[in-house]
Amino acid sequence: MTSPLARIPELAAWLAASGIDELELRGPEGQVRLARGIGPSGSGGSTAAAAGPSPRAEPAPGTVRSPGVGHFLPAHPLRAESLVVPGERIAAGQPVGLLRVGALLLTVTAPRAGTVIRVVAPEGALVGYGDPLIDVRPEE
Amino acid sequence: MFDTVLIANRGEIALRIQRACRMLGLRTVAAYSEADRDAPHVRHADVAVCVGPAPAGRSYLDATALLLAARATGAGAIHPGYGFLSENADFAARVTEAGLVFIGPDAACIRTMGDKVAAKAAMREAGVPCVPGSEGALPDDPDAIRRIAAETGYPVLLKAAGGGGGRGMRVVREEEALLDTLALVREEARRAFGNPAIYVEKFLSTPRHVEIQVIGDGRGNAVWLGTRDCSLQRRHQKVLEEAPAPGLDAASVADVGGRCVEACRRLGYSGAGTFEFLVEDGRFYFIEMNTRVQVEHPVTEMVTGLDIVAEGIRVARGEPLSLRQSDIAARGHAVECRINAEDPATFAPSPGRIARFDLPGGPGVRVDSHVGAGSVVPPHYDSLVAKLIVHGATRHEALARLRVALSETRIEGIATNLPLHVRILADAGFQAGGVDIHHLEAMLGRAAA
Repeated sequence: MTSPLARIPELAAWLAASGIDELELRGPEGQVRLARGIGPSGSGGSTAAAAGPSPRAEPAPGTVRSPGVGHFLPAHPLRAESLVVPGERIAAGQPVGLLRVGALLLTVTAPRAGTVIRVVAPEGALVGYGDPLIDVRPEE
Repeated sequence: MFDTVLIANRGEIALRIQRACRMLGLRTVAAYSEADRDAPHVRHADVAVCVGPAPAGRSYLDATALLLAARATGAGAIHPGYGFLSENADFAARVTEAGLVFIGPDAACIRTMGDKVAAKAAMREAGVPCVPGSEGALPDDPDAIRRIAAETGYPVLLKAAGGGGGRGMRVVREEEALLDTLALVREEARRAFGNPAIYVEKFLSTPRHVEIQVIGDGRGNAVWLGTRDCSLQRRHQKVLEEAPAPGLDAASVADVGGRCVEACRRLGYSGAGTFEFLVEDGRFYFIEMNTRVQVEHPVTEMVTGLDIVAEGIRVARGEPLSLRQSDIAARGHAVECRINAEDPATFAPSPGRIARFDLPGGPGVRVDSHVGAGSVVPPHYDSLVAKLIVHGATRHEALARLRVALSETRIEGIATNLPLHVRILADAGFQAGGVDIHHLEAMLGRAAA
């Protein structure tokens, strides 16, 4: 496992491209926090960043985020085992969780390949679009 | 009956709806976009869920996402506010099919009123005065078209049945230009609205925009709540509104109001709605009905003392209308300024972070706003940041209060149209009252020349 410190240039590049003002990454070896120079008005900055003055801890770049509204389920209701477990390698497009909306179950798929760090959304929690569900360390 | 309302909107109207719900003891669900994470109605909601990214097409206009959000949060009703999906009949139908209550009229009503030809036909049946013109879409036969235009009387206006907001219409001053202009408008309408149906109506040269607020309960009860004058417009966008419309004959207003109520009864209209008219030489001509609460509803609230948004929710809960026409009284005069984040000279939108936001106060002053110092005005939506509403015992007193209120208001960090409101207030024509819909643009043209 490479130390997060070794990946700071990479993280900084992602941060610059994403329009995210602040990035906090917690891992087994410690914690990394990167912040962009934040102007007084955020003029010219990305609106996604400018629109959010509230401090939201931004999860790792490989994080699987919720594609919509629903109650998060890490496992199918009829099965005991979770769709993914920490340490597991996952492929892009692989089902990693479910959103329950009434009787409807919607599949959440991994946007890209990587290794599951941990499942962050509690089972059954109401999640909205963009909420972090599963921390994933993306593959190179 | 529902006890939880999902608010499918943003900005000041989302907060306005939420206030009404909370006052009625109802729970609220804020369904917001990523750009509105820090909005006050999101903060005050019992449940708040992000339904999509900032672009409206993937959030406030995404019917599926909103319906899923309602299901997931246990909401029993959806309030659409204004704009976005508020006048989308298909959305209203889907809400109802999902077993939820759409707070507003039923889908059939919205569909009828959304089609200008069908709407005018419904109004004629109810005796609401309409602009003279073709009773429906123009035929293809050139002679028939010429005959209809001649009977209407030049100048005439060619309008796309599916158009709106000032789009899809052209003036024809003489018969020679009629068929060429018609071909042009038809093509524009086909491309822009997917509906090539065009109708013709008499062109009114210097009309005022006067509208009548109604509220119905869908069970045959309806009342009208007086007039508003919204003649101060720029590019068909209202800038300043007042209630009541000054200088109109009370008896003719009451006659038209009664006919609007009759139309609501026939339509089985439920919720708040507005009949928009052009008024020229004291005569009313129906233009369209807005089947939702409007931006300018507060001026009517100020003069009637009613809570129009709460009434709309009550009737949606199945309560019969508690108001009778004899209960409705208009006291004094109210004016609303729409304060937009836009350059006061170029009118270009001016999104960004608000550095300072000083609000006015005092008797008869109300501000409906969702922003404050530190708020960010996102570039994705309309630029309305606040509505400054004043009430006075007379129009004169209301304007005096408005003058003071405007002088107290300071917004920094973004450009706003506050200077425009100051200029309107200083304009002799506006002070006299009853200007026509071209007045503001003429005033701006003079200033630019």
